[in-house]
Amino acid sequence: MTRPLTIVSLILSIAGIAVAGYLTYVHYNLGALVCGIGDCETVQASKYSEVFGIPIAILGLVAYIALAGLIVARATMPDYADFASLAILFILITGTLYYIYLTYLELKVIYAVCQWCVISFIITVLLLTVELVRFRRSMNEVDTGFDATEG
Amino acid sequence: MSQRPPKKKARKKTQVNKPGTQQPAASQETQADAASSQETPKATRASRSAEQRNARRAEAERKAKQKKQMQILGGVVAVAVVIAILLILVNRPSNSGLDIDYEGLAFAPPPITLTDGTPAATPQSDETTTDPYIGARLGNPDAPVTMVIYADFQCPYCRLFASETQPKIIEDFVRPGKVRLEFREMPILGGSDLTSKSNESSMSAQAALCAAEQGKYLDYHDKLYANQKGENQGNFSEKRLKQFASELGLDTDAFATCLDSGRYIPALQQSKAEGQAEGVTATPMFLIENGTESSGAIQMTDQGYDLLKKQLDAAIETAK
Repeated sequence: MTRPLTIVSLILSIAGIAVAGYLTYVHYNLGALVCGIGDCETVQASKYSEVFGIPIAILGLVAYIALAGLIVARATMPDYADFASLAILFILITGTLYYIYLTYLELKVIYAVCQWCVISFIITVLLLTVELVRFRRSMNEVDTGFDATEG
Repeated sequence: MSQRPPKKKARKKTQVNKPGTQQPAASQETQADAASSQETPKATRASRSAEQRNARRAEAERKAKQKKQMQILGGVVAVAVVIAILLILVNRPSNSGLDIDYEGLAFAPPPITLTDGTPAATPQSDETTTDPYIGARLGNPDAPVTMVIYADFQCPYCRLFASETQPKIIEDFVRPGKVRLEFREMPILGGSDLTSKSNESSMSAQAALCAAEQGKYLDYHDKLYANQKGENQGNFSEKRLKQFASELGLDTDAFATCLDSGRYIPALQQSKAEGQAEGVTATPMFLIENGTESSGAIQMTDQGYDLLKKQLDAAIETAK
């Protein structure tokens, strides 16, 4: 029963692309950098919004695009399915750990929470959950005819 | 990829063990493979014991594969942890100051007259305390252009300007003597009541002016930005502001007396009102003045330093 999970994963990764794309746009289009009118966009303007000079929003965008690509590749090229699954898990675990740190920064250092960043965090955690369920199932399916239902 | 052949083997064995299992069309091919490997149906006993052997082997392979998968997952987790730690290490918070080099630059404290008529800080000999608010000034007094900075110490973009853009302006314009910076106070983020002790925009600006009495406006200015954390949540409480003064080596008694007195509240009200009259509606905003004309209130944009540089160059050009 991996096909519904594939669809869920794909939808989540596409949602991730949309959110990270929006955050990338915001990072480069802050407009007037002032406080007092509307939101300060504190998080996107903070020095923590870049790493090695690369906006974290772009790191997120690249990661979600890679995830979507790997999910499609896994569904269409069974020979690479195991590798794709591990690569997906790798990206998601790294991303989740980094997001925990970034959320800590928002709450305890920048003192501002960026709601789209939180939404992206939730998407990543959901994706990780789906992929772990899938990984667990694929291990159990070794006992009952591994890929009887895998396309 | 290397895990693929054992998986196929496992599938064949399970099909043999469970002949009743319905197979989807996709695996008919492999079923045919399996059939072709048992072309001698007469030797049932031999093939049954072979099946049992194969089943045991398949079981062992399954266990091995599961173990291998767990090991690979463990490896993936380990590498993910290492990479996440690296990402965190290159981007962790530091409590260092702004580290701006003011060495050798002329500085004039704000020539503010207190309500009792005494000057708060010693004015320079060539100036008298005047009607419009004049803030602390950095750089050549004869510079053709003055860049007035209206800022709120609680504003993250003011911090961004102070830590990123202002050092560039100092190197390119202030140090060569072409531009003088003037720091005016625009306490807006703490609310409209500048007399409230819980208005941290007002309190931090008052504290900076108290530090100016001891010649430490810029040190205090940098200290505030370096310690900026959120708005109106106790980060610039009276206690912390006094602690900053102590850390900067100020006369803490004089500083406390100054801060407790609220003597700079009228000056802040004046600075804020004049800023608003100039069109300063947010922070940070700037006025670029060259004696003949003023830019009017301008903002920092995502073009960052480049736009301000152009405007400063233009003002210097027309001042000649």
